Amino acid sequence: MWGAIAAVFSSWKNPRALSYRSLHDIPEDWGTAVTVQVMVFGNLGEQSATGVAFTRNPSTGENQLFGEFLPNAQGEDVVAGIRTPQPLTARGAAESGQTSLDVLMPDAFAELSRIFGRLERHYRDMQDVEFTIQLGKLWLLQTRSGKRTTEAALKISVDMAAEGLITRDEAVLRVDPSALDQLLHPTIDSAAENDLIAKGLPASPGAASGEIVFHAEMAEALRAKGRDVILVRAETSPEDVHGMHAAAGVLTARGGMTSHAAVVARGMGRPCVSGAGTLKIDANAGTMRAGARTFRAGDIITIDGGNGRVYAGKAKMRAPELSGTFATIMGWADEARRMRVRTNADTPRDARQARMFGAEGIGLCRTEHMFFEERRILAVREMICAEDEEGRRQSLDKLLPMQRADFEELFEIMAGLPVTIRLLDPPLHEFLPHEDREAAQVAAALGTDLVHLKTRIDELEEFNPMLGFRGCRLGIRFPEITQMQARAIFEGAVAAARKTGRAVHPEIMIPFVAFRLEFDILRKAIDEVAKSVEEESGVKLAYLVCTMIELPRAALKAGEIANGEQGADFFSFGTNDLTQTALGLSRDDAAPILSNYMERQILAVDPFVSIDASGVGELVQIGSDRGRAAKPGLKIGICGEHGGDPRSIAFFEKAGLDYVSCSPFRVPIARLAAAQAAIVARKRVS
Amino acid sequence: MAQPGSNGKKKWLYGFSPGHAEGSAAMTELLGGKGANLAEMARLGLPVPPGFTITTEVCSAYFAAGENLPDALRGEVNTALERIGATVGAKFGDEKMPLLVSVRSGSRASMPGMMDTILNLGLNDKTVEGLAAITGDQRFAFDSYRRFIQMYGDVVLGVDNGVFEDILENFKNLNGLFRRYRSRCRRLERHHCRLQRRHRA
Repeated sequence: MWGAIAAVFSSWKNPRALSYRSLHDIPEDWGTAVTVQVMVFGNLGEQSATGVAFTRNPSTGENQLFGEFLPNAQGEDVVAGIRTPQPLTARGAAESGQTSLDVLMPDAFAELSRIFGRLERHYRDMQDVEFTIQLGKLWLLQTRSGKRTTEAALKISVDMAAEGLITRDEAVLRVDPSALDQLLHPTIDSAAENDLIAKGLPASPGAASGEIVFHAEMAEALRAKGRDVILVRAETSPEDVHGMHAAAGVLTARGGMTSHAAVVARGMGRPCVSGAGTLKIDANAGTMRAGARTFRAGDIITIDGGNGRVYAGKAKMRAPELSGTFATIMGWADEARRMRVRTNADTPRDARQARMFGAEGIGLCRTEHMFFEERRILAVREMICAEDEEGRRQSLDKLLPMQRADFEELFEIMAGLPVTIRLLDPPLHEFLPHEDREAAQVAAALGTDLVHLKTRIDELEEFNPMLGFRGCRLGIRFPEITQMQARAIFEGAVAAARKTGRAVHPEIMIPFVAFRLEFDILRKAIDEVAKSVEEESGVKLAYLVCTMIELPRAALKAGEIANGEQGADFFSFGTNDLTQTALGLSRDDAAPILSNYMERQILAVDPFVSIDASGVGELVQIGSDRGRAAKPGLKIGICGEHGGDPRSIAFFEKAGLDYVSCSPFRVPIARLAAAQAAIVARKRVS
Repeated sequence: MAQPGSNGKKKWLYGFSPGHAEGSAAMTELLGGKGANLAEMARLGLPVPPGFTITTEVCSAYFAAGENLPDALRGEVNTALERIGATVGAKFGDEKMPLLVSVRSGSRASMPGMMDTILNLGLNDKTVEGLAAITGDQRFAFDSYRRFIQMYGDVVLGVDNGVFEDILENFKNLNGLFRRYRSRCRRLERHHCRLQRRHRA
């Protein structure tokens, strides 16, 4: 007894458990408890059985008892996936021709159903239960909130709210925002003809294509090279978890819906087909046989975890469905949240995608991305390398119509919604030609010789461009750049308003401001352009000029920057740069430093993923407070990567920001996370 | 958090049986998810096998003491074992009515299959006969004993599981031969009977 208790405590620190905890951010000091319990036996003959059951379907969320059992077996046999278990209900048994529990032991099944109802009402959530029937008598060995797919989480939340078991707010709180990602990704196009090679159980939804690998180590190695792999195993064990994490999908020949492979894959959001019994997998030989066909490591297959099918080759994928329970929960989330959610979008494609996902405007349009396009980059390089204002103006004249067309299209897509456009921000050297061939092209266009041009390029090189000639510093030195961009924005706004019949309210954002005077100089330049566009077009322009708060000095002097009629009309925190400048840590060089710091527990999370709430967050708080003290009701948003991170969004809610802006695919995540943050905040008050 | 026990120190062990529990679902930090929810189900009067949960604080103490269990725990475990044995009319180590228990881990977060479990603890060369007598199933009793030895060897003594698997595979091969032999005997017997009937007819 004594040795057994000690051994189970010791297993808290076995290598498997250690790696699982580091993967799932479970603190080492939590420790484990040890439960000692009278044995009950599921292997005492035909009136005995053991099984695992969910009170609702964990894959689809349907309100139907769902699970598997093995007659005459011990509990570990079900989870180990050694024998393929039988379904609990006749409905599940119809397809496989097996006998279900409700037929085999109707009394025990009836009691199980009754208890499930009781457990759901008590816990107000879907439960995952382990049970054993010993000589006809039912025993419960465990219950916990059941892991479920995102699809099931949505359906269960919506259903339970409809059943009156939980409130709408609780339903919104039940769905993990980060997990929405799964729904926003493609499934197999059912219309397309695919080469079906096997059928197993739909263990974890979603479709994935990739190269066959037979070992977890191989999956990791190929993933590191950026290749998509499907981990193919006879069955998986805890040793395979890191390989499952690296794989795009998991396929097993043995094991049921509650086998190790199925449970772990669902938890990770990996598509998984389990128990594809017709496949003969020989990991040592590196082959998978399907009937007469043999597949080898490296061959491409596709699995569909939604229906359990396995196909040879790469299947055609279909865009995700955003209606049904997803739309219902998002609707409830939108009612519950206080902060607005905008998107970071530079292209019409991004903007359209984001609107589909419910973005309420553009919070950051990075104009430099428009400059990299192949047709334009030459003109941009000419502009940068030009030696005088005259040369620059000539190149800028070429860029003006292109930029105007860009903005016009964005304004049209976002008709009636705010669009914030940031003036050119990155260090100019990012645009410079690096190869001789490109340099020669620019030299020819400028009518100068290559040697001369190279001298000019050398002049523009910087030791630390991140803290160099960038942001508002560009416009202060070369006002014609700002003038061109402002003109493109205003003319685009006038044109879009004429087309859509709805007024456009452009918001122009000045990046990297540290001093009020920088803001004043550029605001004056923008106002002058606005005036002349108004005169030329006869249209009165309604626009805002704001600043991005991304330097600690700007956060500290926020009051000064916002002050008065001519001060900033609103703020947007650029928390990527604010994190870099507050921590003095370059994002591009951060990876090895951060992994060391996380290992040494100096940092718990990557501050570029989740905002450093106590440090950088305090700067956000100071900036907001001082800005609003100078200008009551000042609108404040955030447009860094943090705008799509649920943990950071919870902080921005507390800090009282008006909106967050994030990349299009994170918009639904941000809508839900903002709702959850608002609900939690309301609870705290009441 | 932990309430002080009768002798003024922290409570290390929380018992439960259907209709009664010292712990509850709110105590996952102390009892782990499994232990807390077993206590909760017991409170609801649901059929859970009687048992007790040793807290995560003991786990911390265990590691702080260089992987040694606190001595004072021994008495508490023995008392608790007697208590749960009494509910099912069995006693730990008793040759006639042996109490068999499972020993499982359970942390605050679910970590499926990551830590170790021991089943059928309480079986030895003598008690296994008792189990066979109670259940009237010798094959079951010895299969349980085999599972126990395998788990105990793997988890507590650190014997490579492969050793057992090899032995078991060989045994199963033999067993298969034996089964085939027996079914052949039965077929012969049936054949014999038919012949006899035909003779009588």
